[in-house]
Amino acid sequence: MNDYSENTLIQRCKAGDKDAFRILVEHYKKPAYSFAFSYVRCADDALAVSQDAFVRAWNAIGTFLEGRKFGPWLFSIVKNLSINHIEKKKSLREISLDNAMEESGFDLPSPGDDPHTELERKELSRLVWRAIMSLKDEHREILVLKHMQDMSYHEIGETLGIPEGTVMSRLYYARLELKQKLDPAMLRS
Amino acid sequence: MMLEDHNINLMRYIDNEMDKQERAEFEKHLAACESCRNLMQEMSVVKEVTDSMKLAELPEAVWDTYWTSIYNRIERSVAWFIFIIGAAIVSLYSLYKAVTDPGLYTFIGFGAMLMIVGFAILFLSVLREKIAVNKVDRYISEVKR
Repeated sequence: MNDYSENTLIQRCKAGDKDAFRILVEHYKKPAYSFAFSYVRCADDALAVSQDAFVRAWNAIGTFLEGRKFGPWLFSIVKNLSINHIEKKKSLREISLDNAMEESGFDLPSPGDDPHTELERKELSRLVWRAIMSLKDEHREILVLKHMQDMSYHEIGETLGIPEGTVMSRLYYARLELKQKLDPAMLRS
Repeated sequence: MMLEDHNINLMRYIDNEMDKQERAEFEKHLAACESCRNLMQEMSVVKEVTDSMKLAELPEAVWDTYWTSIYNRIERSVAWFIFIIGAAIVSLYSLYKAVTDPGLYTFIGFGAMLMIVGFAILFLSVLREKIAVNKVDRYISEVKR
């Protein structure tokens, strides 16, 4: 979606055009869901949070400043709703990293080999998942957008509202932190 | 070239964000720099491992109903707003009539009184919740930017 068409859509949204808003929703729904998932760690919760973010974005579209990018604005809403969701959920029960993976979060890589290999892969995935989820927020979110949404540096920059140079350096430090958290022997294997 | 530049170029290299010429130049550097070569190998493994972690694809039916759910919530919030405004007008008018027309005092006045008390409780409840949410909700400042 180019800047012109997005600005046009936002102007239409401001005039109350829900069809225009639907186009924005269709374009951003999967990234918004993934982004929410990186915080709330549960598919159902991530869906609810991302939908809530769109509803809030619609309600506040009148305050959206012309010339800004919709993506970073939406993602800031998703991020803050996710943080609020986690705070509320923490009062009910602690979020378990292990349970989170079982709560339909991730596909395990290349299943189908012999049981021993598959078990090793599951264990590897569990360790990687735990390491990713224990990263600093800004490192985790950039890895999610890069690896789970296959976004380019340009797209990540637009989404997070940061320059491409910052994307590159943040990605470097995110991977460095992840490398340090992962077992060196595991990386060698 | 600073070390920081090499690190950034390393990211661009393994993420295929370089053009042909930049790639060729960086490969020359890699051939001559052992520490960058080692770091590239480690980072490539980290990238490979991270690439293997994909969010599970949700059923298409979930995405098919995604917009409908948002639309319904938007529509309902508008409907509730209109309903509450309408009910508030009716309540206030009924109260006014009850006060100014003693003949209607018994039924409409009593009903209006109940509605107003109900609205007042609802209003205070929502207000209290909003205040509590605002204390922790950083989203509010974001949408106002």
